[in-house]
Amino acid sequence: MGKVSLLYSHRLKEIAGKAEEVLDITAPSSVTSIIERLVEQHGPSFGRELNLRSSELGQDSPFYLVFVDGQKIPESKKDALLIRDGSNVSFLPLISGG
Amino acid sequence: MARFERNILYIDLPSGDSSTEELSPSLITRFLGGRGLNSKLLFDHCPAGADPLGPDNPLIIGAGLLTGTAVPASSRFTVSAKSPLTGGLGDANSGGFFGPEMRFAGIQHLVIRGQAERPVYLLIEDEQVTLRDAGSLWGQTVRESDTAIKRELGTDEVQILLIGPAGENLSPIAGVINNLSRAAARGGVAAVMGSKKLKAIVIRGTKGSFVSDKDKAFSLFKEIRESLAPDPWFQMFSKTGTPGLMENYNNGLGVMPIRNFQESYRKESSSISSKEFLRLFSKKRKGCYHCPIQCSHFYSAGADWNEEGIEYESLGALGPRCGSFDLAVILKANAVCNRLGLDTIGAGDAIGFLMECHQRGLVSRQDADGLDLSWGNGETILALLHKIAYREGIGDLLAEGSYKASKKIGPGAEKLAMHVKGQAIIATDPRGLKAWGLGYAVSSRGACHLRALPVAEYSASPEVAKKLWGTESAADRFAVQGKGRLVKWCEDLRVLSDALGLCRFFTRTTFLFPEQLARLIPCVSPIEFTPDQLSRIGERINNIERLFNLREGLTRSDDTLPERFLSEPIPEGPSRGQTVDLESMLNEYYEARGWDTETGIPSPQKLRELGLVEEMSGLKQYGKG
Repeated sequence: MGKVSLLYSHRLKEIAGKAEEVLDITAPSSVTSIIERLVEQHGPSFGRELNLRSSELGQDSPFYLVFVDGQKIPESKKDALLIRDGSNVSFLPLISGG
Repeated sequence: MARFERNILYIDLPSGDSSTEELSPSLITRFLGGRGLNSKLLFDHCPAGADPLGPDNPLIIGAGLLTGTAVPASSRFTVSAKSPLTGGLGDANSGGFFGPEMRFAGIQHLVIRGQAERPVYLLIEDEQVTLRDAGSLWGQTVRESDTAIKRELGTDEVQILLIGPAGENLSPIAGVINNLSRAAARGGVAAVMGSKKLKAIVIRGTKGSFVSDKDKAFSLFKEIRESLAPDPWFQMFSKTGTPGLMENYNNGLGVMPIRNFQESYRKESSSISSKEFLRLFSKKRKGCYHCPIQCSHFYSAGADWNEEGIEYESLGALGPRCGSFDLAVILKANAVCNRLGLDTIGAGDAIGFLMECHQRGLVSRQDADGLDLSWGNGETILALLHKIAYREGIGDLLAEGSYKASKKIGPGAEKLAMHVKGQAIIATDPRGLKAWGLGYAVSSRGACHLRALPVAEYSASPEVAKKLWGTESAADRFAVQGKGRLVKWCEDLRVLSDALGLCRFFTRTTFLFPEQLARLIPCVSPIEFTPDQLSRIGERINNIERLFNLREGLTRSDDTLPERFLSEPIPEGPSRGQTVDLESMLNEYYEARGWDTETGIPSPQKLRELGLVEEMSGLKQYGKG
């Protein structure tokens, strides 16, 4: 057993009705499997929001970036990277500037 | 249809004489306009070693090549001068409506020379140029002056660029304001305007805007609008404006400076979130000229506190940086800065610096005119802003900016001044975003995030990073490898926005790239560019700015960061434990630029390649400090 801390922002926070929560995991889990559990828990609108796409540097990109312990997880590694007990996972929109 | 008219208007303040020169196509094809051509004009018209607050320092205002056209988000203009803050190149960029009005008057650049004997304002009505007495305006706030000028002229149909008391009092952290709240605030350009006793520039243009091929242009603009509308980035930014960045930079990345960068993360910061801003203070959205995004807001923080804004940078500088999480106080402080003509970043930095000096026993309450310098004290923050603008008491010291103030306070204070080349650092901690740190260090105008705006280091995929910058780690925010190439790449593209007069939030799209810009420009200009030409222009502008700074005595040793970022790890949050390894990034950056890695001086070969042959005449003398 382990626990993963999740942080939501912007619309994801509104849909989930909370800014953060803790998820129990029985074994190290991929980002994809964590997202699947969250969609099950918070409903299809949560999934639709997470699947939004945006244009960044002229490339089609996911609108929400996933960070695990401060490190961005590329789309190509969402299935492979394992999230372990005590990790912090953030979902941040792509907005940027200053 | 309006004709394509591009002029430089020269004003000699002592005599009141003016002359107009048509811009040569060769200048446009080498530097475009806006920041690009301003930097070239500054290089040519500012003698080496000129006193920034003396008569030889020209004040140059440049609309971009596309400013005021039918191109979306084409509101931007740049104010340039030798900086009294850095001693090198100074410029500040703003949106609003002043830049487009310049273009409607047929003017792309204004070069203002000399100093008036008494306060004046400049009135431009198409070809008619007059200097008018501003004795009664001197000492008035931005709002009071704006109202008085419009009353005197009997019309609201003018655009006004103004300084407030802070600029009049030659504070290098003063800002130039248009539309009451849009600020060109960096680099001390308002102090240069104050040194010329030039209270305002008032402009009215009636010539309209040139379109080459109306059908082609509007078809392209329709395509642009249709691509922006469904993109969630634009939907979110339209709603929240830049305050929406707070959640990302604080909770998500842990790079929001708190208490003068002693911390960069606070678990609970909802009191200053965009949600609270929208819920409690925002009244309606506001946009600049011809903007489909409209990211600004009108807000009210009380009966006398109706204002426009607030931007993330102002929120960060006047809030957490000074230890305040009280949004009402921050919004009032933002309004005070607009009204007195202060740079919110420079002012917040100076106050945060003073509060840390007090925390460490370097400044007493008595030194600060009896003010309580506890972190986050709202009354103190508001009082200090007034003192800075009017140079009263401790405000006289802070009005010079944190770096110069630290020299006067003495041992122990200098390392608390969070600046590069004398200019205050913005509200993003570079320890958690390494490319931003490099960008601050090498920026030609001192600490600045907009020169490079290397958001790609956390937004790009590893595959894109590998393709564009040679290594996947360029897209890893904690890594240093690839960041030199990334920052150089970003700087050369971003400067095109500044030279064309386009907003950064529009050019985050494919219109960041020369290929797309080359499609856009011919719609509203008879001059066409190839993508290669545009790429070369971006690099040329960055190199002429480097040459200006070298000529003024800046060296590689000025391309650095405060010691805190190099040696003190971020204590908490998602960027915990991070510092900046600047040297390796700097070397990679110089190599990517074709600059000498030991001196940071561009190679003759690079300058010849960019057609900067005349400008390289003093090269052998540069870099000696």
